[in-house]
Amino acid sequence: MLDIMLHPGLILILAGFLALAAPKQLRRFIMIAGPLFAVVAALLLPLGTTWGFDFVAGYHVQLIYVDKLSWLFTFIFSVLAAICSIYAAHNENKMEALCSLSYAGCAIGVTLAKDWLCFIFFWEALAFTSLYLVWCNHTPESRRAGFRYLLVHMLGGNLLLFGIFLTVSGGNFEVGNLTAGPHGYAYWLMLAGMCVNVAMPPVNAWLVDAYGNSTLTGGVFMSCLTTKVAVYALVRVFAGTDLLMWGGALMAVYGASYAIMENDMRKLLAHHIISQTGFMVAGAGIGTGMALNGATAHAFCDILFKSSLFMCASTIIYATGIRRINEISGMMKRLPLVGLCFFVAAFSISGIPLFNGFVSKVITVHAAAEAGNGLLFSLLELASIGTFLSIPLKMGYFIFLRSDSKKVAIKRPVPVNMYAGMCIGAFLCTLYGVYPDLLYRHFAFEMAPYHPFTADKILQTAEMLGMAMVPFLMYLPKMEPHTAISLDTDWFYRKPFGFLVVRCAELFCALCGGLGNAWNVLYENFMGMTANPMNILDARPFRRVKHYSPDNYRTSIADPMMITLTVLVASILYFISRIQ
Amino acid sequence: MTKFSVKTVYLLVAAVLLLCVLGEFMGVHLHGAEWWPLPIGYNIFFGFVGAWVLIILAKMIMAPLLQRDEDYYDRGGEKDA
Repeated sequence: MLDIMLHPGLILILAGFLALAAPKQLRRFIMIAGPLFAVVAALLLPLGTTWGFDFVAGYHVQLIYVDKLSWLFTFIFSVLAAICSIYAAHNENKMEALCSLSYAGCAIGVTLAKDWLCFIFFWEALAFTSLYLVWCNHTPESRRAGFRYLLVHMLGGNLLLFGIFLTVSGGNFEVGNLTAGPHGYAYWLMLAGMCVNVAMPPVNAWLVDAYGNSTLTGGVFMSCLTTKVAVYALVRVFAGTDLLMWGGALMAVYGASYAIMENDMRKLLAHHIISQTGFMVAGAGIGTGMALNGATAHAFCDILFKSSLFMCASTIIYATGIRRINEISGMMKRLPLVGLCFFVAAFSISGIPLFNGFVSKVITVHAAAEAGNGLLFSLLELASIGTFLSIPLKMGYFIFLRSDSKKVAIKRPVPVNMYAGMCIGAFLCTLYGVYPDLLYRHFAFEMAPYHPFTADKILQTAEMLGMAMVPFLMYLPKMEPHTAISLDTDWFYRKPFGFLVVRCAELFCALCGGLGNAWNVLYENFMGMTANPMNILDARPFRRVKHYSPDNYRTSIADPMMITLTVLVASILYFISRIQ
Repeated sequence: MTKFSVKTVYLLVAAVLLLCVLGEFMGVHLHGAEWWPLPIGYNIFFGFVGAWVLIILAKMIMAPLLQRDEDYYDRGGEKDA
């Protein structure tokens, strides 16, 4: 029973409901204390723990299964929930508190699930809890983005559900690696469902669309959970699938290219979620021990630096009300602590030595090199350059370092809890960057000893990223983004498909209206004809006299006699014909 | 960024790259695919070409093709009822 009490996911969900019911001051306490309890529970959760209960028809639901992989993801999700809850503690929206804590709880529920039923339950709940974090922004655009998010995740969730249904029908109840086959419908449906959540092109646009329109605090939670849960699932279920290797490389370069064009701060970071997740997906696809550990480590570090970056961007939007890069400048002078945290996180995501991205990203890149895949290696290196160009250089220069030409005013002071969240995130980015063994000791897969701080790795990074600054400086005037949106794969379902749906709806409405009118005309005429059946039976004009007589409302005796005789004669003729 | 500070950054980059190349000459072997040593200065070349290609791809090719006004989707009738 102690095991179920140590389930960090259930602790977070319970904390969410308590936060919903509690008054304002107590809610703040619960929002911080709940995730901290979850972190302690994750630390106390011993490896090898299993806990479950009998469900219907002898099905045993295995709610908790702790191995090294699930523990590492559980721990970092709990830490993320704690950081983000501290950051969001000033938020007075009760439902947002419930949904954000439940969202993190469901993410942990997926990682600890051992059987498919439990897995898909938390997977679906993950989508619904996060949906409210978009809708809670209460703008027309966020409402529409939320519906698109819902539709895409219903597609992905149902693909996975059908795949799981087929897998369980085949007698496989436990979450495990499916790469060895059989590669039937179940395999492809589940892979497609997970690729939707990991935002692999062409089903990537939901991420930028929804995260860019979410609430400021909700976006921080969202930036780290849905895609990382999907990465966990891919490492667990599809490790070694070649398709993922190239899908990951495509994601890495695709996200980095879009980020260079992007003007909205949070959407730019959302493009980089796709790019960094690409490294993890590629690692899962390579499938060697080193690559899988690289994918896991990068997910761990990405959660820290991406949440820090989102917190910094959200803080700037909170303080200034501006979300476009080309409308802002000189933030280093106005919000220096935010600038400091931003640059720590930006150096981390770029993989600069002594920051945590370096100790994780390089593992996957070197795993690609060790696997002898030169093209994959080069594409991942290219994506690293893209990250460096758009986050520390583009965002760092245009938002923080350039002269304060835009004269942006700080409209409201930044709450202390927001600073605390950012500083904790930046501290952890540096801690894991300086002491990578804190992370490496928890690796789940066998690999040769790995040392990040070797001369070749440091020189390689310094040469590549150092030289990447030169084209940025050469094209500096062109690097400032414009006020525009970039069309992505959502164009297909927002424009042509949207047009088709609207036209079909109009056609069916017109058809429905036409049929309704036709029926109405028919009904009116028929009703007039049948309102008084006597009118049909008694239609002889000479009986219609103007003065009142009760006989006008009675049929003559001849009518029923004629009917009876006609039926009788017809019946006799029928029987005679049968006899013959 | 002023011309002076751009020049300073160029000088800093040049100094870092020079140190790196010196390191390579002193026997640090950088590795690429299949863990083979790369020619000296390969990463400098790759860093420049990679960044240049990405900037050209994003700003000169993708931006004119894919960027639209911010009300692009609203104009097409995608509105709340």
